Amino acid sequence: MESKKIIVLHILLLTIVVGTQAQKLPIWVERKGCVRAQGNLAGGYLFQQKQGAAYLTGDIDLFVDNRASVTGAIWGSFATTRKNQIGIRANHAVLFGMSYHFVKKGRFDPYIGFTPGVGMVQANYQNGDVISTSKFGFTPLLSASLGCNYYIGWIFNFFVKVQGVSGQLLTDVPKPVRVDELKVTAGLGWNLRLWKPKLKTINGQRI
Amino acid sequence: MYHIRWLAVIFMPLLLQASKTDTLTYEKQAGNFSLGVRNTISAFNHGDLKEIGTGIGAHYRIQVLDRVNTEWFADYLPANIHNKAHRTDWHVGWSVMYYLINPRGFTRKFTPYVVAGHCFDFTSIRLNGPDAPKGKSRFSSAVQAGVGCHYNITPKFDISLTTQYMLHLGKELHAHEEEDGSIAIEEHKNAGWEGHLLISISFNYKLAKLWKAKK
Repeated sequence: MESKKIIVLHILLLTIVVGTQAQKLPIWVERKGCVRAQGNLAGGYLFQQKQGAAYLTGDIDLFVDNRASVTGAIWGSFATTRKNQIGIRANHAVLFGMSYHFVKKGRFDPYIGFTPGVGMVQANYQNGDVISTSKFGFTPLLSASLGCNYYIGWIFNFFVKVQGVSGQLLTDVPKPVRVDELKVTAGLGWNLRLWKPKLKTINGQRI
Repeated sequence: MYHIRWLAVIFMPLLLQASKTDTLTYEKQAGNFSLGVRNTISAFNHGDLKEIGTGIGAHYRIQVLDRVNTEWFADYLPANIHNKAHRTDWHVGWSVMYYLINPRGFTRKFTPYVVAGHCFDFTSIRLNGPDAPKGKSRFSSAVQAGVGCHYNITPKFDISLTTQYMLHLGKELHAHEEEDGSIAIEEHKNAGWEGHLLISISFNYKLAKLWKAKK
């Protein structure tokens, strides 16, 4: 019971400290030093297979500059193909890269991202008279994203992101299976200040 | 000769701009440490346009002089061979970049450079399919050289496009399609040099200054 109280107290203290820091220098004034993250459900459309896809996804942006962030994302796919149907069974991905944010400060934060990554792909294919399932194969992915965040408060943001991904599975399938796709996600995200950057001033004016 | 003329035409405006006397002084760039991620297109494997591969990689750069930068990279490059086999290349190496014009603290939008370097590589070729026989592989060394250009979004943040030709030294390993449509994987001991054209696009951010350059 005592330990529970201590944990709750710590969380409250952390929230107050983070909140106070963020209120002094909110993300829409200075992005550098902030982290923005989200976890959500997402949809996709696979061009070669002409089929929809569904994902559980999470991404994170660490702002190393007001206009640049280091970004990483995880996409876990739900099986949308039946066991006896040709197509992609699993299409998980880990992406890592950088984003350029067009506007230096403000609540609206449109950006473009370049995030190469690796897919863990499994596909069903025709093997004589039967349909077989391939092993999971590593697939390099080319990926670029376009999105926008809107910072509604010192800890929350709304976001929308469209991501184009291209790659092909080349392991034990008889023919390469393309995983060219458009992924879309939107919802509520989090933002938090990790450190307070040194501010440059000239004649008392912040630059 | 024809290509050199075209390169001269492409880079002429930049070289003319560079020839103007610099009146401003810029922060010395030696000591910059930057991180980058990249996608690489591997084209022209053994002269075959049907063997185009797309890969991923990452690198870090350590700048040693205002005009000289070094890049330390790792790449993973699978390529499709006529929808019947696939080739996988792993590269780990380094390159030296020489900026053709004064980067002026990377305040210019474009900074063209020439690049050359060396890498260690592992190549494997395997037929497609679940029952395919074990493929062939080899370790070797390679040299690469080419041209590239940074597009500096900010002095710290750039997109770079680099085109290099890489020559694998040592044993030649390749696959070719026979007249009956089957794929043959062949290994020739010191039979010749093989290579591929590597086109990389990367996003880079200067994270830190490892040392302060003398003014």
